[in-house]
Amino acid sequence: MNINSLKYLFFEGLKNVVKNKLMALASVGVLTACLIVVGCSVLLTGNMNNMVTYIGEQSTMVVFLKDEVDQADVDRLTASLKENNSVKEANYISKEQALLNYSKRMNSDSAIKTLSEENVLPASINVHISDMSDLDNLVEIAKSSSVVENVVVPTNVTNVIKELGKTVGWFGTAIVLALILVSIVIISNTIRATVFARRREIAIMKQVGATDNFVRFPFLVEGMTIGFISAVIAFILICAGYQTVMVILTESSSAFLKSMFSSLMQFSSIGWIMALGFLVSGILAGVIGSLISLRKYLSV
Amino acid sequence: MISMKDVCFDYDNGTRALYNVNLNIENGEFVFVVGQSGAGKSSMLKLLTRENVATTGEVIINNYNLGNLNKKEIPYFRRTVGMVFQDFRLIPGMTVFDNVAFVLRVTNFSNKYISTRVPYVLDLVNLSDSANKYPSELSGGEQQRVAIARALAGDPPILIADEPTGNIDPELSLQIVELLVDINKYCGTTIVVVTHEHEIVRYFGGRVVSIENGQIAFDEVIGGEHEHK
Repeated sequence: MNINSLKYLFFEGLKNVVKNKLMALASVGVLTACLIVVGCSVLLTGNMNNMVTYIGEQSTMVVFLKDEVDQADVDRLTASLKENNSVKEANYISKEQALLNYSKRMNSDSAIKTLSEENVLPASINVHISDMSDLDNLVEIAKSSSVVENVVVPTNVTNVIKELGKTVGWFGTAIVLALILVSIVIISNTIRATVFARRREIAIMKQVGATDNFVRFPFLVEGMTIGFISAVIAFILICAGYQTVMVILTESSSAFLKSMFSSLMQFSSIGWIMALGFLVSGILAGVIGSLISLRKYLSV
Repeated sequence: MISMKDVCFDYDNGTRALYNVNLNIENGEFVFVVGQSGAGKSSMLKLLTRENVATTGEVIINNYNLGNLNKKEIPYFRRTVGMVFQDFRLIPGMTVFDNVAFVLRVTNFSNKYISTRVPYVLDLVNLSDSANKYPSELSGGEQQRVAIARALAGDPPILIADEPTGNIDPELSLQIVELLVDINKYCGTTIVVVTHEHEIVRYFGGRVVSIENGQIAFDEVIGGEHEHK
């Protein structure tokens, strides 16, 4: 095919969208709806993950140290814990600091007096963890050190967060995959109806000597155009909808929820990727739908 | 040139439609293929357009051995055979000009060539004034003339017309066949007209191939009332 033919076929594809506007409208409607649902699932999954991570970040592992240990060993343990990517912060709390903290919390003179005579509070390392899935490994590292007396971890919360994170991940992936599959089936059926309505035209093209690519090209352009329009509409609706929901959530919630909502994704951070994803998947769905639907009618 | 040697054709359900058909049509000939419904005319036509492939034997058209054609070669073969159908098979959404130009676009001709060739063939079939009309705005006879113009646009050496008068008035039928006769006479195009209308065949005369029960029963030149060739 030369440039002349490509130009002609490209404009034929665009003209076909206008000529078959009812079918095109139906395809755009279906594809837009599918893209919006997929987009919502992606945003929901992403935000659930962010919130789970946020809650997870609030978790701290406390490594209690034995009395009378060499400070160099403590520093080595602190350093080895800090080396781990899942550790956001590891702070050494001396026996004196622990007493001071305890005093502040208790605000009781008698208790402070008793403890001051003999400070039984152990020194510790407070480890702030960013990825709770690595907790077991961190506990292992801490327990392997000779200076460690005991390790306290928020086991229940940790397990819940780990499980929740996994579930959200699996559930989100499953929903997105199922929706993509459903979208392709619906789109190829919608396009099949378009192709079926024009099967005679396709047969005539083949009978006068059109190659398969010549017949396919305008349908591909048509599919791509439908995909492009659907992607643009879906993106605008998702963008507007998400911004509105964000405003409602942050305006009418408690301080705790507000701080948790601060971990929600900003649309600007995912907007470009989503726009690109919508364009690519919209156009691909249109193209794949066209190709699948045309196959049967090309065998004239 | 069209050559069929010892051709048999069976449908998938086992029905034998053509038995041992041998037929040679030389360049520049005008041939009527006649026969009753179910005689095997359509089966023969489908072999000539490579919609079907002979079960046994050999079909050679314009140096293409149709039994050996691969899928990619089929469109190139079809461009060497102009087809005219009983139901015209025009694309309803295209104007007369675009329906004819379509064949040339398929074969990658330039816009410049298309803008001179299409008016020329429309003039041949006396439809210059209808170039911008849509098929639905034309009579049956006019639509068939558009189909003939489309078949001629790519200047194929062979034109096959399948019941070209089947959907039009008897009076117009004679005009359509007369047009085909003229094209054969003045352009040198080999023309095969498949028909069941014996009156037309008797009127024009010439070489007549009659098919009965899937076999060639008769292949002779007959005289016609109309001056032929």
